[in-house]
This record gives sequence, structure tokens and C-alpha cells, in this order.
Amino acid sequence: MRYSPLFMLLLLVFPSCEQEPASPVDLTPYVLELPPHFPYPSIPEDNKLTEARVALGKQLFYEPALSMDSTISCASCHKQALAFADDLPISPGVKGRLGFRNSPTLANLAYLSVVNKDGGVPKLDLQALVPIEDHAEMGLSVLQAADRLNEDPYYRDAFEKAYGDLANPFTITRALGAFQRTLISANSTYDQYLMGEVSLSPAQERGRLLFFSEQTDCSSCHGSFNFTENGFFNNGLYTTYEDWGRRRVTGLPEDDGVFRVPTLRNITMTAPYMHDGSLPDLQAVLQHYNSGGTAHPNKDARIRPLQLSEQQLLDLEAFLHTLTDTAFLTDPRFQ
Amino acid sequence: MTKIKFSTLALLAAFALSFTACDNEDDTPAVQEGTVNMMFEYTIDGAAFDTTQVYDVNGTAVKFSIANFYVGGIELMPEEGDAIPVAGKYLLVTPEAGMQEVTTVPAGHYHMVNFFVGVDPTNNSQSEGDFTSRNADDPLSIQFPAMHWNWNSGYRFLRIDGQVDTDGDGEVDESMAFHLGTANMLQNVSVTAHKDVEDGSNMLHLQFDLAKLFEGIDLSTDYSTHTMNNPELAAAVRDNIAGAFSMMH
Repeated sequence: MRYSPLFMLLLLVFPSCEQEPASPVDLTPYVLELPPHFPYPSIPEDNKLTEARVALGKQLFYEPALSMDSTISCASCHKQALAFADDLPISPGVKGRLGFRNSPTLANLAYLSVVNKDGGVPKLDLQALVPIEDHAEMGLSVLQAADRLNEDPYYRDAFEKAYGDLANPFTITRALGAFQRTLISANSTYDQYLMGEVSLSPAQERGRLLFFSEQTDCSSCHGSFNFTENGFFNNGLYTTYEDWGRRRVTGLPEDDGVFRVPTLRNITMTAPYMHDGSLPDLQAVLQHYNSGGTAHPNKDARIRPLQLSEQQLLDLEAFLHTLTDTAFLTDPRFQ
Repeated sequence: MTKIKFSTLALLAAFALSFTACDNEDDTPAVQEGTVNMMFEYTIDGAAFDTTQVYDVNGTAVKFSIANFYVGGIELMPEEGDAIPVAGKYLLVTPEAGMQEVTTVPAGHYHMVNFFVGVDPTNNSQSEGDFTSRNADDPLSIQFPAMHWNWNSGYRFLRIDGQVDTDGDGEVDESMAFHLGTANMLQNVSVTAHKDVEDGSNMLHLQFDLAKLFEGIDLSTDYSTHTMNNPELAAAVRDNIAGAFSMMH
């Protein structure tokens, strides 16, 4: 008893070097639902999926305040009904400004190692800086975006819950990364076929065999569960490339006109096609590959005249239709 | 009585401990040490830098708005012994930055200061830590105006923006942008310092002359590079970097 004041004092004194104890962070995990043929994607240590982070990321995805004049959100160019892509060759950004690349689908981004069509961004968790800051997209410094969000008590609270911090370049990009990792498309007709739930039509089945054949080599680039091997190639679209593609990042002549091989999941929903949206429909794309493309020193050897018949092109298109995941296009979790 | 005495002592000891527990400072240094600061004085052919003024650079009228760069790899060369590296230290140098603290070194004569303009490949790669995961007071964190490329996920080592007169009518009406980055734009600089570092605060006062930076470059025709889209022009500027610095005092 007589030592108690001393102990009280000691208790007060020694924790003075420690961090504040009480944390408002909500760590309730968010678990991705995946069919057996989908691996669980690797999630960065510093951005584990939690309910709070995914919810915040979703809010930010639809937030026009992330653009210079509060007119454009991520969803302006990445529309859920279009598999989080757009139906224009080049989608306008703030003040109607046009960039130079077609808006890609965001389905299954969780599986990308490097991001963007030229692979210039080393991880998904940094990618949001590109559209937010690009002059022709949202045109706002991420620091200014953070200031705006921190003026709003709702966001201050949401960021605290998700990351124990305010809006800043780290928490903004991580929250958007977390939400985008949940955009899993794994329930197409083809997935249902793989799980023995449906059968393919004769045309779809003929197309499937062609797709995975050495006659076309489609699957050598567009293989695996996600219909891309995540490679970068020149597909013989042009003789001279206005957009250098991967060369813009590496500076290497051998990367001229080299672009990411995109997923083919939901490909029927993401027209127009190619890095610049220059091909209007799937038949135009199939005809391009059937022709063997244009001469270019970097053109991949697999881009060669395929001599496919009209019927075979139609069969391939029929197969590509099986990659559409209609539930993904309307999933309320993403709205 | 003894017990009370003991508890009083324990109390005092606890107090003494509590007040030193948070700092790690050593006691008085054995040798005298001086703090070294660096300051970069911007000039254009010797004239004072001013963002409101139009300058003649190699016959072209130019107005500057941004003239920022990163300095890293700083090392001080003493009269005797090995160079003293300042590990991991980066400075974001701007016309307004003024004096920036660099390190503390033993007092004595230092004849050279070495550094590079740029960011080392590891920090530049963004693959582990990146510009979003740094504290706001870290010069390598995201800056406004931006010293990073979002699409290429690397730093702009040197960023000179402004306006130039391209048609000789005296109006500076074309945007000028020199954004240098990527590994082979990193430029080593060695400046003869002859600095006596004394106990207390010391300053390495360097001059950075923009006319020398653009020496041999016709700004009326060559006024824009984002490195990758015009590597030759970026390299021409890079090759002038070392010569643009000199020691003032």
C-alpha cells in the first residue's frame, strides 16, 4: 500500500515513449471468392484486403472530386456494364481532353505484376496516380486530391478506419488498389463449362478447339485462367507506331510498338479494340490476326497469316462470347 | 525510516530514467564537429534568378517557372583520409529552398564535395518503397510541382520548366520543359570546395548557372524533352550539369 503512489508514478512514466494505443482501424478481412481454377492472387503486405479498405476504394472509384474540375471519376471511363472498360476509342478526360490509349477492362487486375499497357507502373497500388494526375484524364495532383478529401469528415473517418491515417498519396492509391483487386471476373459461360455446369454450342466448341490449337496460337499469348500470359508483344498493327508502347518506358528500339497482351475475359463488352481503340469489332480483330498483320521489325513470329476460313473466324468469335461474365457486369458489390 | 529513504531514492531514480529514456544522444563529442549545410544560388549567366524576368540564353528569350533537381550521393573529401559519405541523404533543390542541412562531420579542411544530380536506381525503381510510402517531409515523397513520373514510376531528376521565344519576336509564348530522369541521366558532380568546417554551423554555398546548363543548346528550336521522347536533348543537358555548378564560398 505504501508503495502504491510510486508504482502509479512508474506506470505513468514508462509508457511515455510508446505510441498512442487506441486505434480506430477496422481490420475485418475481405476474402475474394474464387472458383477452383483461379489461384488466390498475391496481396501486398502493406495493403491487405479489408472490408474498410475495399469500401473506401469503391467510394473513391466513383468520386469525381479526384479530378481537377470534379467532373470525371474512375468510373467515367471504366463502366461496370462494359466490364469496367469504355465503348470509345479514346475516352475524354477533364475539359474533353483526349489521351492516346483505349480504356482497358479492370477485370482481374489483381493478377497483373506490372501495370498499364506499356508496363510502366511496377504495381497496381501505384497505378491510380496515372489517371488522377494525367493532364488528359483527371488532371489533379494527388496532393491536392488528398487535401480535398481531408476536408470531408466522411472521408477522414473512412480513411482512419481503413488505414489509421488521413487521405494521402499512399492511402488514396492503396484504397483504389484494394477495391480494384476485388473486381474478379470468374463466372463466364466458359468457367461454368469448365465446372461442368453448362455445355458449349457446336460453334463455340469448334472455336474453343481452334483457340487452343497450334494452328492459331491464340492461347500461347492469351492462355491461362485469365486468358493472358501477361506478356508484352508487337502484334503487327502498324508499320510506324505513333504510340511507342513499351519503348516509351524502356527507351529500347526493340520495344517499339510493344504492348501488354490483355485478358480476353468479357472481350465482347470492351469494343473498340487494340491499344488505341482502332479496330471497331471482334471480326476486325480476328481478320487482323488472320492476315498476319503489318510488317514491323519487332512483330512477334506468331503473328503470321493463319489462312482461316470465314466459318472458322465466326467459330472463334462464338468461343470469345463464352468469356462474357454477365454477373460481373451487374454485381452489386461493385456499385 | 530506511524504507522511506529507499523509496525516495527509487522515485528519484525512476524520474532520472524517465527523462533520458527517450533520447539516444551521446555525451560531449571527443572531437569538434561541424554541421554542414548546402545552399544553391541560381544564376543565369551570373545574373540573379527571378521567375518574373526574361533572360537571354544563347540568343533566345527565356522565362523560367520551375528549376528543381534532386541531389544525392553527397560525400565530403577531407584533406587526409577517406571521403565521408552522407548515406541515404537527398536534397530537393529549388530556387526557394535556401540552406539545407546535410550532415555533421569532424571539423577540418575539406577540399572537395561530390554528389550526383538524380536518384539512385534502387530508390528510382519504386518496386519496394515508393514515392507514396514516404513521409511528407521526405524530399523523395510526392511533390508539388511534381518531381515524379506517374506513368513511368520514376523521378524527374531535374525539372526545368518555363517559356521560350521560338520565332524571335521577343514574346516568350512557347512552353519549355526539360524533364530528365531514368538511370542514364544520373550525373556525377565534383566541386572543389576548400572549406574549413568549424565547430557549429557551416555552409557550402554553390552556384548553379542555368546558362551553363543550356550551353550549346538552341532553345528556340530544342525546348522540350521528357527524356524518353527526346533522349538526345536530355543527354545534352545532362552533359552540361557538372559544369553548371561552382563553389561560391
